Amino acid sequence: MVSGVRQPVLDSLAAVVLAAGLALVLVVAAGRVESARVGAAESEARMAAALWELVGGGADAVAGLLGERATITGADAGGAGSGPGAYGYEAGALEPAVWIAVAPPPAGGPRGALPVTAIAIALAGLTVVTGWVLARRRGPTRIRYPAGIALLSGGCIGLTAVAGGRWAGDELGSLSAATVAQGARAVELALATGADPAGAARFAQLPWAQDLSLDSLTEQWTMPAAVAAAIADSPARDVEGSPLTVEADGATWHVAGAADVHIAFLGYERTSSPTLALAAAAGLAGLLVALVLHLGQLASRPRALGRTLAAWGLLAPAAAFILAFTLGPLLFSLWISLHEWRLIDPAPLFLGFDNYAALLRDREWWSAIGNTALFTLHVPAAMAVALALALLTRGSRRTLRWARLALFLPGITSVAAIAVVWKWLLSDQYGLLNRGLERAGVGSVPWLTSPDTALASLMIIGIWMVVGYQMVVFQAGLAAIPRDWYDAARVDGAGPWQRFRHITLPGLRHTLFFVLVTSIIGSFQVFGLVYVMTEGGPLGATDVAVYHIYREAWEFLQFGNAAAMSWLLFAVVFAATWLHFRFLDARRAHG
Amino acid sequence: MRSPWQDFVPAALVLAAAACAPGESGSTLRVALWAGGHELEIEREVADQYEALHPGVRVVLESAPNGYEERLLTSIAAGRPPDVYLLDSPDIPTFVERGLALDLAPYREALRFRPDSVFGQVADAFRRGESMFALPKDFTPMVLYANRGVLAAAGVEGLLPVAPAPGTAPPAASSQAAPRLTAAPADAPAGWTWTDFRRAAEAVVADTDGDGRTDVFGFDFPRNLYQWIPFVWSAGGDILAPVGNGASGYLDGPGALEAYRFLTALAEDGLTPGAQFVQQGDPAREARFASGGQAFLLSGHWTLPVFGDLVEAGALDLAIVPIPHHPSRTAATSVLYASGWAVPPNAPNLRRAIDLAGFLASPEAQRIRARSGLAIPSRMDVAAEIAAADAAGIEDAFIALVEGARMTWGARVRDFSRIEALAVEIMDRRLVRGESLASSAADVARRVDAEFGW
Repeated sequence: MVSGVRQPVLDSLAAVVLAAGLALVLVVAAGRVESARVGAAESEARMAAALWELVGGGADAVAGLLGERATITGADAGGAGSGPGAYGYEAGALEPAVWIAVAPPPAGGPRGALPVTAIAIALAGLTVVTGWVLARRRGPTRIRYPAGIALLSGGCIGLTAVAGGRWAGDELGSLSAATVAQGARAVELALATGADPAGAARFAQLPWAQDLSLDSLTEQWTMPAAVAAAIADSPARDVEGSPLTVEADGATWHVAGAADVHIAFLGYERTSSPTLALAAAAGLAGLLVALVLHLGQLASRPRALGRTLAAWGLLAPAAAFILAFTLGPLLFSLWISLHEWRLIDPAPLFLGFDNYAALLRDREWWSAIGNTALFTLHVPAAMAVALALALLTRGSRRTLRWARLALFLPGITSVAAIAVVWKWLLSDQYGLLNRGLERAGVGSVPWLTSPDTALASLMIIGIWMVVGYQMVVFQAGLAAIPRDWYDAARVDGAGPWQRFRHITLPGLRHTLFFVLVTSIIGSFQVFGLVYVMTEGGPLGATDVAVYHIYREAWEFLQFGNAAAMSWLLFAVVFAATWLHFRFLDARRAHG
Repeated sequence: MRSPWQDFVPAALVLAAAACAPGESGSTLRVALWAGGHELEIEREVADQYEALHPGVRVVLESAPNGYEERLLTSIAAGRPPDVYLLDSPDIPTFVERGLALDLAPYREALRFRPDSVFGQVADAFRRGESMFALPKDFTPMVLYANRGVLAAAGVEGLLPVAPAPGTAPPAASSQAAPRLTAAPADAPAGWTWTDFRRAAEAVVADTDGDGRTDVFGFDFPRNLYQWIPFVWSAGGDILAPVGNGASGYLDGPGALEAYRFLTALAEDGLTPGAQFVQQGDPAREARFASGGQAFLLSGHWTLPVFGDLVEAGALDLAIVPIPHHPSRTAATSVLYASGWAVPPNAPNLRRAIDLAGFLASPEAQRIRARSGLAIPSRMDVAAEIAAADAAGIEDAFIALVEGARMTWGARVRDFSRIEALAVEIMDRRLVRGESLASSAADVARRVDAEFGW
């Protein structure tokens, strides 16, 4: 089947894929604008429903707000209830009396109804690529063909995405201004029915503040304090009817005034920003074009092309899984690390590398990294103990088998269960360990309640947890060392220490390296023990990197910071691993 | 030979079919809450009642006793919020300012909800002006539980602001005495001061088995802000400026410092077991208190059911008393924690969600829920009914403490968890490193101001 695919077909396919990719980019940009238009209609429908419900403004008030864009159906409107429809909203307390259906605001911001520039760029690029493809079918082209197509396609996709993004931004901005103006209109209509300003402000269904409370920030507002403060400082705040925008919390807020009420709206250009989606669409389109070009290279070798297609087909499920659950989140976390984001914010705020710069000055973070590095020191100690145990428990006697099992058990036991048991064992007041020490006349030790001992206590538990696993790995390594070497060494008069020094250790070199690297990576990721036993205390003595990241994200909702910390931790672990490899290479090079 | 495509295509079809499986029906309402065990059974009973009233509607309780906030935030961020969720008082500013809670005030009439039917501070916590962002469920003030057996054995039971009990005996002999659960009467005279509290706590400290270790303590160290803030208020201090926009001068102010000194002295003088520097506190505190190893326990209404069986069995002689106040003042100020039912503005079934929230906060639901004994119903009439049926006067005692109590700062200040995390350092630094309380409090106050841009 595949062997029948010919070069011209794949060449043409490249142009088709490019067209599809460009369409995808345009659809993403237009889709964001359309979804914002729907959002604007829903917002207006909520305003209309609030007018209907709260002051009984009725159809006149709704018509005053929305004109012919609203269709009212239902018992009170003299018609049959139509039930939920697009962009509609039920009004009339909980038993809907009417259904207000709102048509989206008309399209047509400053740049017109269509992303003209983006479409022009897309068509121009597509024309050139298609022309080139057709020219090649008539004979060889002068410039190197696949590279030229790839470069041209990539440029075309990128420029289309940029132009589409700019168009979407303008459209979203004009929608935001229209939405906040409608909010002000809803307030005015409510005031006309006799509602007081504070009550009327709620009809906008948007964050609001009364003029009097802008400075004092009393509780008569739902507007974020930073926005209220920015409005209070704005010289244009008292200019009747003038559209006002203020910068607060790193974003542009559209503001409108009605009587002594100000309402604000966090622009769609931020909450529906198409940047990330456009980047993803453009990246996907570029990847597909590159894939088709790659397949085109194989067109002259049908068997190789068939195998490649089959291989990609079989790899696709796993590749999709990795893309969705590993690579995707990884890239997303990188993107988040460049933003301020609290998970429930309407939209992340772009900060560039501010999160990383702030981390460099964050003493608590570096203290956590220091604690993590200190904790990692338990790895060599654990390895020494594990190696000793591996040597001591070699053999097939029943007691040795039981000993190995007992030593291995902590490695397969839940960390949370281990942590809870150890927490009681190490308790100052009731701990078995302290009772034993007291009986022995040593006196009790504040295992987990002193900054001097808490991390060391966790390290001891860490050793106890990993030593069984490491012992098993070492025993596998020991089994691979030829017995003859030991026999020969004995014949040559080597003692136990010399045999260990000159046969066992060199023979275990690769095993030792493997255990060292994996254990260090594991120790940098320590979390469960700290989470259950010490919560990073006392006074931050056991605040390790992953626990610090967890708190930053889930306790303080600073996901941008937490993502930046994760990437820095990745860099540290990567550097440590790389250094180990370099060290090993150097040892190899010097014999 | 079998082609690879022959394996791939059927597998892809199976995956596609799985992806197209039907979702939930539109008549299902999802409720996010943190109830567990018996409490969840009771909430299920409430949900069953709603289902009986609304045939065809199914209520799914999505409970997460641990990690509730993480789960709720994730579902909201993913664009699949529950129809109704339980909003904890410290989360109110975050959810309200981000528009994640619908203003339910327009539906008050339809839901037959009157704000004045609810305890004032509780209703205010969920209000911004005329708007109401959750319908209050229940609440609790922080109180002191006193083990009367322990206090009687030390001869200091008389210091408690409750009527002395006849035949009081230490826990070992308490099986012969009638089981008692008593509380400070609602009209108890003022005068339960820090001095009285310390005297009582001091008197009970004992090494009962002669092994050189203390076996009976007066109290356990209240390390976390939610535990010690009533002591700051009861000394006339506070932790933030009145409008919640500054910590310096408050968190390190004279009243706050007096409270820190009083509490750290309890630990330094051996009246408490060693401080546990974790948020969950001393895991043994309740067991120690119930078994006669501790005289006082600071907690909320939620602890009452824990001790209920012991009181019934005659193993615990329990009194509930207010938090003591500074000797220079006349009364203590306790802290309140409340929760309410909120609806996200983008709830999948908005009208039904609002209706369900109304039912969950209704008197009928609160009466059912009151059986769990975990909190005080937010509605004054239901709370009064429960109190009237309680011969021991416990509920009355709790309700009496509401007057003059304050809602947690977390209900007004966004990102309050950051302040809580920093504030624990003040007394930790004293107990761990012996630092001066004034300097550590000033340092923490400065850091709070810097972090919040105050």
